[in-house]
Amino acid sequence: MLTRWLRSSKDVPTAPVCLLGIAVAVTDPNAEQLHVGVVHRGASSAAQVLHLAWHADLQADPLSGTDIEFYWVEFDLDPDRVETMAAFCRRVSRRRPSVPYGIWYEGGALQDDGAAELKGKEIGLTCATYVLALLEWGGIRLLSIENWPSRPEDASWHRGIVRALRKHQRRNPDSISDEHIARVEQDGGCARFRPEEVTAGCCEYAGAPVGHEVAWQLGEQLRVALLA
Amino acid sequence: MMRAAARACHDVDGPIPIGTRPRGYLRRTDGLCRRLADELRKRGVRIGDPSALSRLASTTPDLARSMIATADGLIEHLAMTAAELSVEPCVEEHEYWRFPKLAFDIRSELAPDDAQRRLNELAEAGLDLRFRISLQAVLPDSPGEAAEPPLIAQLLRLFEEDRRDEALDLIYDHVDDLLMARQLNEVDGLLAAASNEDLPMTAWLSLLTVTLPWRDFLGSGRQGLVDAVRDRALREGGPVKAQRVLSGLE
Repeated sequence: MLTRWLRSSKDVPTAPVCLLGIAVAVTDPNAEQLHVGVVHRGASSAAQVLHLAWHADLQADPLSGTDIEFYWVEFDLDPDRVETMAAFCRRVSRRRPSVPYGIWYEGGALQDDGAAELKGKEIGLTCATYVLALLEWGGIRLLSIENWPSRPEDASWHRGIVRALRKHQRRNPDSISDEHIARVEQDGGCARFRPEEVTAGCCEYAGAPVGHEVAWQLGEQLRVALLA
Repeated sequence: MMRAAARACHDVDGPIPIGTRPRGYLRRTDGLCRRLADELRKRGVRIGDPSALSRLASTTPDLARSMIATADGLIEHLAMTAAELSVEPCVEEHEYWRFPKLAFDIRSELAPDDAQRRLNELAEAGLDLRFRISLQAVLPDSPGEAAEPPLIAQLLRLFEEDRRDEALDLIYDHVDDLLMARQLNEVDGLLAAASNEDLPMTAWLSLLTVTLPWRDFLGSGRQGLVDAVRDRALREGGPVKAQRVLSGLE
């Protein structure tokens, strides 16, 4: 156990206990880049992670036994509610809709099949905001998104995202438009919901949205633990 | 009956002048309404309570059928009212959610007094349509058949066999199909029927969750299920449990 919150992918209660939580992994140790998804399991299924891996690439992977070394934290929700949300995650995993990538988030949810129901200026979702949107669909507002700050230290992450999208476009010219990348670029400086803050929100959630200060402080602890 | 009413409405060549609605038709509708109201009153059922109506329908299907016939008459009433006003009628079940639009059209077409009267008529017709849909969800196709609608019967069986994941997957797939087809009254009726069945809490919560984005378009069936969830949660775990299961779902 890395902290009192984080559990390894092997540390999973045996069925038929249902699970709902946030899975988090280090995807690029050099860039200290984290990645999140929703971990879920029904009464008779294996634990899976539903995560937006990249632009138009929603994936459903086993919690353990893949290239990604996931850790996870558990939601403190009523067990009936957990089972209900796990069923929705299974449904989305079966459908695997195409979800565009975008960094501006103002509270959008998902459609019933797991596709993004974009709101306001949103043009897509990140791995972290996909988790927020999925929970929002189920009536769970995880973070106090209205007061989330814009932070100058996210600028390098933003530049890296734009570079990666351009590289993706060179390899797959039809998969993303110039206009879409330009919009992501213009959204620089917006509030960013970091993977570790979404994970921290899950740790602290007790029925009401978790504020930025709490999520940021615990998120930093989780981040340090994961990168150690 | 409803489709026949719709056809009759579409066959009208231009708007019928207001006030020329056949009086015999009105008398028949009024008579049906009175009979329905009397029957309900005798049985202590409050008009506007679809779950009570559903219970009534499952125990006295003959009465339920006569109530559905009454509601069919009201649907026809609505279609004719719409034709008189030359507004698009709500002719299909999945279009009942358009009542507010129809009401708005009436308000803008008529003088205030007349508009208010027509709006009242519409409100009554809309209420009774909701009755009808919730009744159909529990009423056997013919006497002697099982009273549960197919989905609920399947759910009861799956939960009994401890196939919980399959049961919940079925809820999401079935209800989502209905929602995508805008069969909102059918969904509301299903929720009303489900609240009267001894389904596990997680089934009830799944129904509330999948319909959450549609809550503003659904009627008293969804609210009835919310109340049923709250009652059971209060019994099983008190206010804390009730708050935890319903948080964000009402």
